[in-house]
Amino acid sequence: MEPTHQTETVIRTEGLSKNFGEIEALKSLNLNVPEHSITGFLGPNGAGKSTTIRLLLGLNRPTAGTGNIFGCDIVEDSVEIRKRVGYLAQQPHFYDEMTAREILDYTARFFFTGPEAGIKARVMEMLALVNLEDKADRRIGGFSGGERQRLGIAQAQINEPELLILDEPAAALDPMGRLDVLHIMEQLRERATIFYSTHILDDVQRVSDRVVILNQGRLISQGPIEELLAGSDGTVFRLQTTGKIERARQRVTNQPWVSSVNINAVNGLTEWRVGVSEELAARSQLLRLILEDETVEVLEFGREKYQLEEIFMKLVSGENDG
Amino acid sequence: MDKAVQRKSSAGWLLGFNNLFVKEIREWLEVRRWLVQTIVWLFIVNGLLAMILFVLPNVASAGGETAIQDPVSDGVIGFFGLGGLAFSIGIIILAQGEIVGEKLNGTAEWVLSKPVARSAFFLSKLAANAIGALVVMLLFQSVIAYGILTAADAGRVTLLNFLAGLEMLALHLCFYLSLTLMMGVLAKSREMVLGVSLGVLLVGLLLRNFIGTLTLVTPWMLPDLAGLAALGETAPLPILLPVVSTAIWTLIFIAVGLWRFEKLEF
Repeated sequence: MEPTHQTETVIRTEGLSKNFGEIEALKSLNLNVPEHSITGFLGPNGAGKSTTIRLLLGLNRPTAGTGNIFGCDIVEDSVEIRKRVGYLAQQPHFYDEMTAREILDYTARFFFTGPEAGIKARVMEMLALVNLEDKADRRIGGFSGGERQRLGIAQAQINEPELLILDEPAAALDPMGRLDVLHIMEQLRERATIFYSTHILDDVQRVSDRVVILNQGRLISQGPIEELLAGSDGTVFRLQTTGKIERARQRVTNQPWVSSVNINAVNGLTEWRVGVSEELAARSQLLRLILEDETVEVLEFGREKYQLEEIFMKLVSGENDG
Repeated sequence: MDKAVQRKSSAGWLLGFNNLFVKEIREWLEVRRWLVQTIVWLFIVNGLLAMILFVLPNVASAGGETAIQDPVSDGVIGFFGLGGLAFSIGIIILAQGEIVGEKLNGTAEWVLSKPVARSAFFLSKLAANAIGALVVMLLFQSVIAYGILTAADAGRVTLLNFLAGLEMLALHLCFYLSLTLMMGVLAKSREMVLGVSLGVLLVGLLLRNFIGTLTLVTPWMLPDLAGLAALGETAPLPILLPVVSTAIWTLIFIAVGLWRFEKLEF
């Protein structure tokens, strides 16, 4: 297939499957990752995340199905894909006898040709990106897990890739290191598409704009994170008020676009969950209807959002029970 | 100075070879490595040659009888015979972890996630180890050996004949290198690589006198034939057949290694 440079979907798979003997590690995966997105790839251990990543990079061969990145076939055009991708493995392994500078120099020379000074400058830039300048000439054998991981990010980014594939990039990092990684990912958003697997759902919620959830080798959800966090119970608005609410409740319940009103009293406050059939009407009228009553004060108002952890657990346990 | 780097646009079965090869050959160029190799082989191979040429004849003469009638001939046969065995064991030990080690510790997966042809990865190991072993083991020691032989009896072993013997020894070394690398692709442990490669070498030593003309299609007689060629003597066996068959075996091992490495999953 002729590679395309102007595709809106960077990663696309259709029916992508991988068996290891009798074990079905990946079952007919249809994946879409749009350009310039940060996509969190979630799933419990053994869900098939690393297998998917290896298939995308040509390190494993699919049992069935197809996949392409930048319009290039993941089997036939793997080398062309790897020229435009940066990859960090779950447990990055480098040559322990080499220094960080040597590893980055070695990596850079797979992608670039030209003056020595240019290669060296690129290496220095990457060392600075991950804050390893002072350890540049230390052998990697003596690196901590976090330093190794930071070097992994540097080598993945050295070719200024259009797509970064990161397998558990923050797994071995302390909280500060994790924040650094998230910061780097946000910095790279403008320049690259980022597809990363992780177990840390807070991180996904913080930086990702799309989520793909895999369980037991099967895709169970993918889409914009906002859609996922809105839940599957229809559109629900949540409010927290003080004061007497009876008349306000009556006015809200009488609206044709209101489908349900649930009210709970908690610590002297009133919590509302208002289900609506027309989100626009709710946005423009709901708050006004409640504030018509001058004795009522609204402390919080917004569309109901779930925590990613709740959604993830619900989807995965639902799939496992099913 | 212009610092602008350009993206490589090359492709094909040797993509990444230069970078891989430079990394591999640098390991051979490390002073400690080649110095240790040089000293070890100097003592083992040239030590034996010097002993045959300069020590044993004197020891035997003191006893009234001499077991070494022709020190130069025995020295050359000893150099090529022991060299064939020792250099092969050396290259098997040095190359045993080259591929299987990288498969097991994850560095092969890392390298192959870059724009690198798998054939380039395998061939860089083959080329760097072949050049390293041929230069550090065979060439260094042969220059010293030829110097010792010339000092003992100038003109007895001609340079041309000596080079002919060396070519056979080089082929013998390449056979075991390619076997070890192929096993590195096929096997899942270093022990398996070492066991099979050393097994072929040592079983050959035991069997070569019992399998008759079958030895002609193996590399097992090559060191002896190399010694005879260096002395300019006629071999009892046709020399060409073992040379050709060893070369064919070597090419088969390389082809199998390349083919299977393309299919490996990480």
